[in-house]
Amino acid sequence: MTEKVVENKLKIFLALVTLIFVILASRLAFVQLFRTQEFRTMSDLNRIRFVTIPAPRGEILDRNGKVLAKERPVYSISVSYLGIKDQDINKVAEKLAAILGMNAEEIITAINDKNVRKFEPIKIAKDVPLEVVTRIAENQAELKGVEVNVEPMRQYVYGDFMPHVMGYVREISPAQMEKHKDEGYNLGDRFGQAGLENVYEEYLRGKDGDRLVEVDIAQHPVRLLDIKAPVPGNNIVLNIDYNIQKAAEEALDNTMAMLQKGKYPLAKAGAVVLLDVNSGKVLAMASKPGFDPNIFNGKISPAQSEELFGSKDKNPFPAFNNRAMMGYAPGSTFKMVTSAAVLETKKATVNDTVNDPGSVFLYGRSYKCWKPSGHGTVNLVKAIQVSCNVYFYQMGLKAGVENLVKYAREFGLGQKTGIDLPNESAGLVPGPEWKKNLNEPSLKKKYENKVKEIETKYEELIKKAATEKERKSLTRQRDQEINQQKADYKIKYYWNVEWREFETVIMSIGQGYNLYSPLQMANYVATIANGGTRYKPYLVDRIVDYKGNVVKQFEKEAAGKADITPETLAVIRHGMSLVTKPGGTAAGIFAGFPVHVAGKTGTAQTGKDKNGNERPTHGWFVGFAPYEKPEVAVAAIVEFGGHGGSSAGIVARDVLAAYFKVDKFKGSEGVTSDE
Amino acid sequence: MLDRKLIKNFDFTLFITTVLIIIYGLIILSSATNVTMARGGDHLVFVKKQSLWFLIGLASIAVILRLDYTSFLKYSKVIYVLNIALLVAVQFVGEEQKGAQSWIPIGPFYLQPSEFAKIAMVITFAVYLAKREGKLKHFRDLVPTFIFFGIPMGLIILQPDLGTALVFIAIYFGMLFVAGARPRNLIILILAGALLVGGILTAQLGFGLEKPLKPYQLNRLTVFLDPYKDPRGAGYHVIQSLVSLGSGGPLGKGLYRGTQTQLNFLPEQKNDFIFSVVGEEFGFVGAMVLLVLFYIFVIRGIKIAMASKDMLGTLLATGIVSMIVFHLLVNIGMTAGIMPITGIPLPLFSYGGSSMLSNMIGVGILLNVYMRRQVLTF
Repeated sequence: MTEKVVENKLKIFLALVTLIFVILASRLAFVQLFRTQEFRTMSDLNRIRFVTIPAPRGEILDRNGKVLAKERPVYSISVSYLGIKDQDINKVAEKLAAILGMNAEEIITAINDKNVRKFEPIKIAKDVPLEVVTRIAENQAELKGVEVNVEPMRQYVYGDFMPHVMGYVREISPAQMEKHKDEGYNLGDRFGQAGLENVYEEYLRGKDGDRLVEVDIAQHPVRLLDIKAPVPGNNIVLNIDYNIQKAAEEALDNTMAMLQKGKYPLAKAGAVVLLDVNSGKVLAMASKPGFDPNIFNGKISPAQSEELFGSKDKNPFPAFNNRAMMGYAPGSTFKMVTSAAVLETKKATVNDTVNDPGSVFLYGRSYKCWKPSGHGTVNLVKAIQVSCNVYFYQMGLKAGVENLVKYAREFGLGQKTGIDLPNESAGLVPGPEWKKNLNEPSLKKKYENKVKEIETKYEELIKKAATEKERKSLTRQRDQEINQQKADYKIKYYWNVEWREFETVIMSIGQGYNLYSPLQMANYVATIANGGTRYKPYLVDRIVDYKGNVVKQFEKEAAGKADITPETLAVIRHGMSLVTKPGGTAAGIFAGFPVHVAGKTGTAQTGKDKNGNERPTHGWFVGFAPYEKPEVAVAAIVEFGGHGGSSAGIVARDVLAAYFKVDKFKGSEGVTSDE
Repeated sequence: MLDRKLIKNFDFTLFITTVLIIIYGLIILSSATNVTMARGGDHLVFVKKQSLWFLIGLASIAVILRLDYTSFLKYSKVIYVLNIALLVAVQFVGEEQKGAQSWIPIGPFYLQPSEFAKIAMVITFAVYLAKREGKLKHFRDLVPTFIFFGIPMGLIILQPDLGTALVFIAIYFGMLFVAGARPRNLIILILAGALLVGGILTAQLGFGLEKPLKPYQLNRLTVFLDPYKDPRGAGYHVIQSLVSLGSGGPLGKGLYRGTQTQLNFLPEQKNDFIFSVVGEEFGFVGAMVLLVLFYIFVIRGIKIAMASKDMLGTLLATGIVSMIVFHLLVNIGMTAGIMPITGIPLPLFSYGGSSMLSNMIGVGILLNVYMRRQVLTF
């Protein structure tokens, strides 16, 4: 190919390129010179804006379709920066402040907030009454740039009704934005922050729509061009029954009030859970103290924050915690685990008896039964009925700590149940391995540091020593000190790192390091009741879209099958069935109850307060009913409520009464039990 | 040091034109980003970042000028493999923005391999064709070039980045034409391609198929024909851009005074639609000034292609000119409503580090070819 050919081709190329420039220039000339007027008019008039229409969030309904959480349209007032910037901002702010009953400073600060882009409206007030909206409309001429919008706000219909389950919504946080950046959230969008609102956020939120509007110079919409309707979020239908839940909350409130008036002024918190034993459906879950999640629609005051989140000195009972999912020592409600462990490992039979004279001497210590005079000769069934500690101390030792751990886990203790709520506590099954992992590293480190310290100290001294004799004596001194540390380490290792028999003894009756949540305890009893199937507890039955179509139906799900024979479970159930019968620890409160409830009381020690005084015990009750054909399992706790039979037992009974529709059961509340 | 003779042969016209275009771009960028920033933020943050890229670009030009462009003969294979590696990498470690997985995050920056792929293809294809000078007469000679271009193009379509894939086609035909392929063969290829694309479009539009183009992609490609068909979606871009240009009139509304720009009606006003800002605020005159600057740039590019001492230099210059001109056609055409929305930037003008740097490397290569146009004798 010759130079000439290439040059010719490049000339053609140049011609082609020039043609492209001519085309572009002509098109620009056409648009900019001949159609100027047309487009200028459009640009003057055409001030099109997309205005988001927030999608209404889905509702939360109880199993019978009662609406528990819904959306309420409210008026909000915002200021458009572009609309207000050419006016006397102070004057507008003052006028607006007067109408809204706010401080003008607040409004000016909001308008001058540098974090907002020029064309974005600045929200000044939310949920303003209609009179205010009317006054703003009347004063429109002096309030250029002020906009009134309607937006949905979350309303929890029954106020402080099961706030821990419902959760709440609030503006999405930057961290949440980052985490969900591909899901189309905008700053200022609402986001479920806790409870069901959080877990089912993706179903509840819906899809925002928008309006294509024309605005005037002050950014006021003057004409609606197009509208894309928002798609409302899906509704969620719970397994929870409003009436039972309400009874549960009232039972807690009433029982706690009764206890506070009596001997237990600290009985200010508690929880109760009711499960369907054949599916894991949560029929009620209450935790006290509660709060009104509607407060999260506005600013939280310091006093409210104190009430919600508490502090050690001022408020030891923070309302925000869902106590149904927090770990507590289970007390005697743990004894069914000890029973299963000893029977399954064949270390004892159902008929083996123990004599309880009121205390027993084991490994060099005396352990008391709760009844000073003792229970006499008891077998397993009887021991459950009367909650005999002396019997279970010995059974726990016979089974061994490994088996206590194993069977606690078979019942799902120490593991998350997998309920559809965030922040569930896994609880804690203590044991030799746990104790070692917990304490060994720190003890070892402390010891090694001490030894090193001694060595460096003497290294200096020995170096400075004048004579050989002095050096020798220093070396001896050093070795002595190190030996002392070694001895100290050995003693501490023995007590703090190695599992000791006394720990097995107290673990057998549910004291010590055991920590289980009421939810886990209810599920444990449900597993005993239904013959060994551990279901995953679940709150939501189905998700339904706004047209009524079922989007998702939740089914029962077995999380595991306890490796325990039906015979063992039957014996345990039999023992529990006698607890509410004459002679049992909960006989008083269930006397005359028309449904045969099988249960177990528990009283958990809580240690000493900062002044060294023994604190009141936590009262527990777990149970299922009817004994013959179990339907529901219940677990209740009243913090610092004293004995289980006279605190949590009443709560559980009232919840069962609501479930079985027993008319205002008038059982004795005065009859107390010592266990 | 550079030879004295080489400095004498430096193309000052091209260089100064480039700098003027970039400075013009920075001024417009300051207006385009004025409104989209938070009111308290640094309004010039984008201008500063872009200026930094300009300086990095100048440094790259300085580096490129020191190498003889004929050394591309040695490095062509490495460049080709590196290019493919980056395009593959973006599939795995890339981040998605605006619907395409085209960005690799590196520290505070995002590298856009498809921007560099264009210049890499120009270099490697120039070497490829220069080595086969005079052996491109037959149609079968073209077959290997399909594979040569097909691999990177396929990877870019996967992102999916249709705009850049189209730029590849422009580079391909521009360079083949000058390299000596028979125009008849090229026309057959273009017709076959047009038939294929036409067939796909007809099939998708006519029968509502959703493959190979997704409905939104198809919509963006065709909406410029009738933007009012979809006034809230893709058509919104076209309408607002036309209103910006048109309302600018002959002289424009003045810097920082374009209502379309300052009220943020314009979408993507610092990237794809930055030309609309020029048109609105500086009017037809301002738009023409920019077009003329680009025209000078392109004419110099073609002159360099003609003046080159060898085929390699000619092809390098041709490739770079093809790339720039196609960008201008598609980008400005898009803002003026005569081209589909494909999302390719205005070279040396739109905000974006990868694009700025790769275009400046292109300028560096042009200057390099011109500088060494005489066969030096020692």
